[in-house]
Order: sequence, then structure tokens, then C-alpha cells
Amino acid sequence: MIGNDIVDLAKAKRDTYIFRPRYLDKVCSQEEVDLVRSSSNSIQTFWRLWTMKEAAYKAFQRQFSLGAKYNPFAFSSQLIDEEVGIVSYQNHTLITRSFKTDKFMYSEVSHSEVHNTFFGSTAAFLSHLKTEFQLAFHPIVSTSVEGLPMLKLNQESIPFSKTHHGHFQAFQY
Amino acid sequence: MTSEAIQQQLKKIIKPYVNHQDNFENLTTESDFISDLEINSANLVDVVLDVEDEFDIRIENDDMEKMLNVKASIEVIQKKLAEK
Repeated sequence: MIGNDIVDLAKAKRDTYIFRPRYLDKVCSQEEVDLVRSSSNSIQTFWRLWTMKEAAYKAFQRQFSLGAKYNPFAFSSQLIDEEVGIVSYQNHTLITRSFKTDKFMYSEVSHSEVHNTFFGSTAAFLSHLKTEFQLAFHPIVSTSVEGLPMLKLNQESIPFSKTHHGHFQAFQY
Repeated sequence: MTSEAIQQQLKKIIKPYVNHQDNFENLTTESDFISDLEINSANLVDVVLDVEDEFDIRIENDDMEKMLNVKASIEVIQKKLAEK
């Protein structure tokens, strides 16, 4: 299971005013609104919950072939500690891991399988993979029949998840 | 309200959130907010809130989740206006 999401906090601040009347109620459950409002850094907590839900959405989308839908309430999130969270969808749950700097908030689905994360440009990512997998050529980015991003290495194709916002970009694979 | 009139008003509402100006100039009922107009997902909420204010309606979650393109949004707005 892979899925990740990044938010450029400076861009988010310019683009989105989360305290606009009814904004939080449109995207958060009552429990999530309470978490945001009671936080010492409400904006950061909001983007943490948001990136957790987006990351989980991308993972569930792969698993259940969910179409493009925009239903923040289908997903509910809980915070375990500074890093670990849980996102539920129907009767399924996913563990997420988040980390932040003062410039961005990042969350990804955490799974028992080992997954890697890479921060940087697409060109840098493909170079990194070439070295990591000792490829003769850069991997080729393609899409699966379901329209999900895939990387063609030598013989095999592996799924990956890309997230880009403002100045930041991350890959999980 | 005719769907043309709603579309015109909707176009005004989404303008500040659009990141793909060419597709915005050539807006059609098929235009997708995310893939064509490149509105970021956090701003989709602003579009819904602006629509609520502009048309004086309230949009619940099951209608909100359909509002991903121009056509579906017009349908939701028309339905809500009819219920007023």
C-alpha cells in the first residue's frame, strides 16, 4: 500500500484560509475540528490531518479502484503521536506517518512492506532509482490500466505515488 | 435560473482558484476542476463555500463530492435552487 501527500506550508497559507466560516466543517469531522481548534498550532494540525487523509485516499484508491471523488468525510483520522496516525475508510484502517519541517508537512501510508521515500525533482528521482536498482537506463514513468502511476524498471513495473505542492515534491515507491 | 446563467456566475466564482488560464478561457461544461483547471483540492472547498454564499444555498457532503466539474456543479446548484 502506497500513498503520500505533501503541503507547502507557505503556499497553503497564501492560498487557503482554513478559519473561513464553515471551511473546517466542510472537510473535517467534529473530532477533527476539535483536534484542530485545541491544537497549539492549529494550521499545522489541520494540514497534518489533511495530508494523512489524502495519502490514505491515494492508497485506498489503488486498493478499491475508487473513482475520482471528493469526500473528506469518507475518511476519518486520529492522531496517535507526533508521527503516527490512523485513517479509517469504511471498515479499513491504515497507519500513516507524518513529518514536518517549518516549510512543509508530509504524510505517507506506512505498511509492513518496506517502502522508500524520496524528496526532490522527478529528474533527480529517476537518477536515484537508476543508481539504486543498478539500471542501464533511467526508469520509465507510465500509467497502469487503472490510470495509476507506475515505474518500469528492467523487467518489472513497480507502483509509485508522487505528491507535489508549491516548492516541494516527494515520491513513495 | 438557466444553466447558462449559472455557468457564467460559476465561472466568476472559480476564477481566483484556477491555475490553468488557457483551459479557463475555453471553459466548457465538461471542464474538470482538478485535471483541466488545476484548482488545488483545498481550494475546491472554497469553491463550494463561494457557491453557497453566491446562490444563498447550503450544499451537503453528498452533493459536494459531485462538484468536480462544471456540469455536475451546475446540476447541484440547480437542484438546490429548486428546493428553495
